[in-house]
Amino acid sequence: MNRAQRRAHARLWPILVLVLLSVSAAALVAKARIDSAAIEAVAVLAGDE
Amino acid sequence: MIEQAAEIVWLALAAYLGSGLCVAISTLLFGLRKLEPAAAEMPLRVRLLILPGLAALWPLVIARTFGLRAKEDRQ
Amino acid sequence: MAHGYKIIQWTPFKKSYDAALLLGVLVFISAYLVGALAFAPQGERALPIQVALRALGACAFSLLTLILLIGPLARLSPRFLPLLYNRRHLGVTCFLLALIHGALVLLWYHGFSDLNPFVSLLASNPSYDSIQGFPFESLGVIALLILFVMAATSHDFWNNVLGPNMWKALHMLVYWAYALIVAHVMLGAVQGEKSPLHAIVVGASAALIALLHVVAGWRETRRDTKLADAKNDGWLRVGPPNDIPNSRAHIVTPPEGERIAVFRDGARIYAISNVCRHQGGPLGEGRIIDGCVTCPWHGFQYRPQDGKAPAPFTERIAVYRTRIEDGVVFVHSDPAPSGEEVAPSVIAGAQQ
Repeated sequence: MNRAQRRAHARLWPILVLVLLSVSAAALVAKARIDSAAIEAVAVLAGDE
Repeated sequence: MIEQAAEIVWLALAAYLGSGLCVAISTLLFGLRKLEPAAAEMPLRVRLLILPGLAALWPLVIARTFGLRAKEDRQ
Repeated sequence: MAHGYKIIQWTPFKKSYDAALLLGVLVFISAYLVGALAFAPQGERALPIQVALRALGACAFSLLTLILLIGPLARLSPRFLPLLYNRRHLGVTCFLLALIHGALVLLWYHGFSDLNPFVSLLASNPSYDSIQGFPFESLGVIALLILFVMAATSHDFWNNVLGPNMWKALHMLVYWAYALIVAHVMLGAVQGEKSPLHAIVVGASAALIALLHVVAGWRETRRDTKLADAKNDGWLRVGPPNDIPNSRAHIVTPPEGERIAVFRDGARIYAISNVCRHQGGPLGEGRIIDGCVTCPWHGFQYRPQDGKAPAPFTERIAVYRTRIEDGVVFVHSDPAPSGEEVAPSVIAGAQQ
């Protein structure tokens, strides 16, 4: 790699790491919410019976 | 509303690639020597191989054909 | 470049590389199919077409992860260089797998609605303003478009037309495609699944890619800031000549400009630019083969005395003057005038 390519990588990766972390965290939080909502729904259904 | 937006996105993409195809075919028929002198004798199957790229990057292909080149890449 | 263009410049190595690639893809997809169809718990079994399109998507993702691992691994250890040599065939294969995945999704999930399947793909789920239930298909579409542009421009014709710097800048879009695909899986397949397998595999892959790139980049930055000892007159200290292994180089970093590779060929010392004209490969990590410095990335060659590629090629790189003083090699940080032959320094008392 030449100097310009190394600099481009050095600029890109901090941003990319942040993007990857925040996307994964947001997705896992969303999934946890769906799962707990599903468990609640099952509990409500079970309570109805 | 969202369907119209989706339609516009696909139409824009089709228009871009459609123009690209016109540029690509005319480049392959007439302009390859100007774009890259070493490619003048390129066999047909290699021409077909580079066709999608010519269609995808057609604004750059036009710029390169008419001699615009990044300074640092000039030898 | 003066040689004629071919679809692929086949070599025996490339053929075995591609055979291994094809075999790997087939084994991956069959293993995924068998695993998902035979071992899924009762009641969660998907239809074969759904499993097939997921297998293709998973295979494309794994292949892209492998592709992105190769770059930093090759910078950390030369053992991985052979993988780099034919990396673009992996890239094109990855695009084709992703394309079939997309086509099957279009057919199976959107082909039976009244709406145009393409419009349905982007519009059937309108919650673009929410992370929960986000229309992750759109992310896959953007990633597929990036992979298409890269696959379409992977032939060396494009490296020559665009120039190596613009070619590389265009192909660095792959990192954004990867981030989009991670988001596509995390917001898509992972959300609907009971088992955390997909989340763990995708998360671990992304973490590994990020870690290796950050480590390799940090090492490069450290090398760039560790400048060679320079005298006021522009001569840089390289070290004792016999510390350089025969046919190989020591790389020094001048205060400005590109790194310089100082080669030893028997008793002769040559210095050339460390940057290959083809794609910026590190020439100083290559070897002298048949009298020519050979780039470790794709095998481009240059004569060390004048920096010219042997005929019929026309590439040329900078060469530098060297001298040996009190058993120490020095190289001048200014390149010699273009095209001029630079006489090597000869190690005193060594056998020619």
